[in-house]
Amino acid sequence: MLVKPNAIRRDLRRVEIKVLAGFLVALALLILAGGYTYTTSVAFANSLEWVAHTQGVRVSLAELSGSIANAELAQRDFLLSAEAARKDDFERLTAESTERLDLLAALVADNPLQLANLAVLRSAVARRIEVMRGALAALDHFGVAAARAVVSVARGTNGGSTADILAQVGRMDEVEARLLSERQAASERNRVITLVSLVITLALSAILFMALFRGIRSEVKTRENLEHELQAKAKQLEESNQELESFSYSVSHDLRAPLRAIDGFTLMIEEDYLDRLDGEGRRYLTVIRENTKRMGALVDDLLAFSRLGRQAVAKSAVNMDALVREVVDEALRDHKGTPPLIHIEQLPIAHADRGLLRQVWVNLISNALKYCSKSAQPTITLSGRRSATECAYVIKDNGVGFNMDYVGKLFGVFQRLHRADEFEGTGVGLAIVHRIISRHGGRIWAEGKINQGAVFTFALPSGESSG
Amino acid sequence: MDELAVADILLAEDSDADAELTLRALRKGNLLNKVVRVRDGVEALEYLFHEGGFRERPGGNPKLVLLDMKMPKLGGLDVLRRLKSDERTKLIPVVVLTSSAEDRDIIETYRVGVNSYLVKPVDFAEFTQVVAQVGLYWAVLNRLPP
Repeated sequence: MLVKPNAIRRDLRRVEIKVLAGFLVALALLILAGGYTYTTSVAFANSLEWVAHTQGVRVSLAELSGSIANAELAQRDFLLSAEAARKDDFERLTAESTERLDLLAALVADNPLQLANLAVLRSAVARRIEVMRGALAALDHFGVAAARAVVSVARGTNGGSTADILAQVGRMDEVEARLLSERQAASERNRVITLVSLVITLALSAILFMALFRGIRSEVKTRENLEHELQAKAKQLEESNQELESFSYSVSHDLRAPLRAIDGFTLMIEEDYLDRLDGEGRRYLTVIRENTKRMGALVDDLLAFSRLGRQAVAKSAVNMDALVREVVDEALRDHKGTPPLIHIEQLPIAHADRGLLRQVWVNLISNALKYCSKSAQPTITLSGRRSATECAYVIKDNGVGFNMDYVGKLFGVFQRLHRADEFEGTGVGLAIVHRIISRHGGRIWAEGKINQGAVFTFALPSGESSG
Repeated sequence: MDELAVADILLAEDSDADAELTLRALRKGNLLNKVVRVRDGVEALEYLFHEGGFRERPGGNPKLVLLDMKMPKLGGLDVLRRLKSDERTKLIPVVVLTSSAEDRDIIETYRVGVNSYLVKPVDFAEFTQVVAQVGLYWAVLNRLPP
């Protein structure tokens, strides 16, 4: 059994598709897994930022309480000591508190609850600062007693106390603390998800590439095996070709020798003993010699046919007009009987092996001459045409033709549609023509009708020189 | 045939039928002056180099050797190689007469230095013509180097 080249091509195509599909799937999975890992890591980074943000809010709250407490301390010191520096401190610290409130407003802008809380805090701080300023103004205008009165009155009224401010800061801090723990939990979750998806992506790609590697390796192995198989087949083929060659060598040598002896000795009888034979005896000798010749022709034709299979086809541009005229002239030189009319139309240049094509024309033209030899006026027309893909050549005769029922047998070896006593021949000529045309990648076909001639057409692929 | 005379033509042919046909063809071409026939390659070399059964034969080379390719013991190609590589026999014209028209035989014999290569036709009439022409050309018309 031979490995069919088509099957191998199909196999290789299948492998290519498999490898390509594997790579595409791997790529898609990697992109998906990688994308997921990317989004989870972005979420993780965001949650970390939120944690930092919350911590920032808490720090700002603590700093605000610090500023307020320090402002109060500075005010009291001033009330007690009347040191101008402490008053300056107070002014600086209240300004600082207001700035801290503005900063906090910016930080919690995303949180409505904290914004509401901040509004409460802001008014508490404003009230407290107002009261402290009130005490300082009383001290300025009316003395220490008035200032103390302002302070104690303020303590009695609602708000305005530092404790309220601190409580409000505490509330806000609690909210932030809750947010912080929530955000820390979210960030932890994101960290785990990122890590897991990263590990899964890496594991998946490792598995995929291992699978791909194994697949490719097994396909390479299969290819190697196929190649070995092919090499083995090629070797077998070469061996059987060699066997065939030595077989045909023996045939050509050993089969012809006895034929020569039969023919030679029959002729010797004819030459030396003819006077001792009667008419029937002489006829027998003629039959023997005719058959010997026929057998010789068969052996020669068969050898020519088998040699064709081994002969290389050397293509070049062939001037068909010149070739055909050469063959026709030669055929007419040996022609006996009614001189035929031969029309040769312009033939396209062929891209083929000249020697082999010559054999094609010799066989087809001698066939045409043979089968129209019994017509009143043998006529043969040779024509050609060219299409985009091939050059076709037509040999038409007005001879005995053939029955289209047997057209399938026309090109077989030793297949004849006529008896040897009607038309001589071995039945190899058209088989040789068919083989030569096939070896050129062309095709040949025939049309005919009994007693109405035959048309043989062969087409050759137009090569680079035909343009 | 006087086997001890110097042959004009040495015919190396294993098949009796072919030898008889060749002799008849030569006779028909009036060329039967002195033909010696040997049956294989070894005998052919013995004749040419005065060895074996031909030790006693008179000196001198034949004018032509007709050599069959396929012979027992030693084939035509080996005989040809020996002939063409020896100074004493190098100049003898050798015509290969064979049934085989195989390209590789033709190429190889010409490479070794054959003077002519002829395929024996099956048709005896043709065969006679070919042998007579070859004999006439090489044994009679052709001028050998002195």
